[in-house]
Amino acid sequence: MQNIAFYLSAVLILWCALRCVSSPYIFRSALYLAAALSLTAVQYVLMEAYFVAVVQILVYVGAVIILIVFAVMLTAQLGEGNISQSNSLALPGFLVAGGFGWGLVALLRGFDWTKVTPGPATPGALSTDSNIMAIGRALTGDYVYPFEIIGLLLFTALIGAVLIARKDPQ
Amino acid sequence: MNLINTLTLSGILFAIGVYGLVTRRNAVGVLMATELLLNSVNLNLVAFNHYLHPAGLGGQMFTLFTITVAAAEATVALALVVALFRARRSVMVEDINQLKW
Repeated sequence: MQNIAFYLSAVLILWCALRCVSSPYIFRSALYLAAALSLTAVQYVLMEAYFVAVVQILVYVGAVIILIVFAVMLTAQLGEGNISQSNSLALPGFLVAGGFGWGLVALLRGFDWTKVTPGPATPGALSTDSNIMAIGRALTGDYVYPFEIIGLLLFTALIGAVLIARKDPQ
Repeated sequence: MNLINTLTLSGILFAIGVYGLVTRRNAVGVLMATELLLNSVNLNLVAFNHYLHPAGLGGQMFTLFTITVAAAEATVALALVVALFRARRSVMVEDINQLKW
């Protein structure tokens, strides 16, 4: 069952990602990106990262995709279907990306994974309960400074975005 | 459904993202390819957390922070795209050449 879910979602993610980078319409491309990101949440659930899966749906599909769709609508050019959304580098791009991906996959398939020893097994509190409680503790404990700094970063990015995108006063 | 399969998925996803980064003309399309790249890296981090260090939370925390940074990056990038469109009436990256000497 888990294997079926894994392979099905993996194939769908790859197909949606391919359509996302190759679709001639940028709006459809955004929808395919939403599908690929939602299906990635399935992968997270399979790896028992429930909180990350929920955050993925909320932040990516709920916020980033909406932003992208808004940007597409605000910048759409008339007769968009006639304008090519891809440049003429399809073959060199395919060679570069294909070579890169082939190298990556060959590297990790060729690596001797028996040399890597997994960490200690999950202690009882983490395995019986979901680890959402542990994440909450970590966010207010070990990771409190990154947490605060990331909040500052988001704040700065929001102000910067408003400043950049607003109309000139005159 | 093991570490190597998940890493393979993430590697292929990264390659697709690189392809999109190279071939898109639309700045929004380039941004979408960047999101694919970040997504594949997140998958990587969670996989390592789950299969190699199941007692820890490091990979998941990193993923949460990466998602947040990706959201901030998307906000600023899309604001830039909207401002560019207002100034140049185009979002194609080859039209944006004022700083190119």
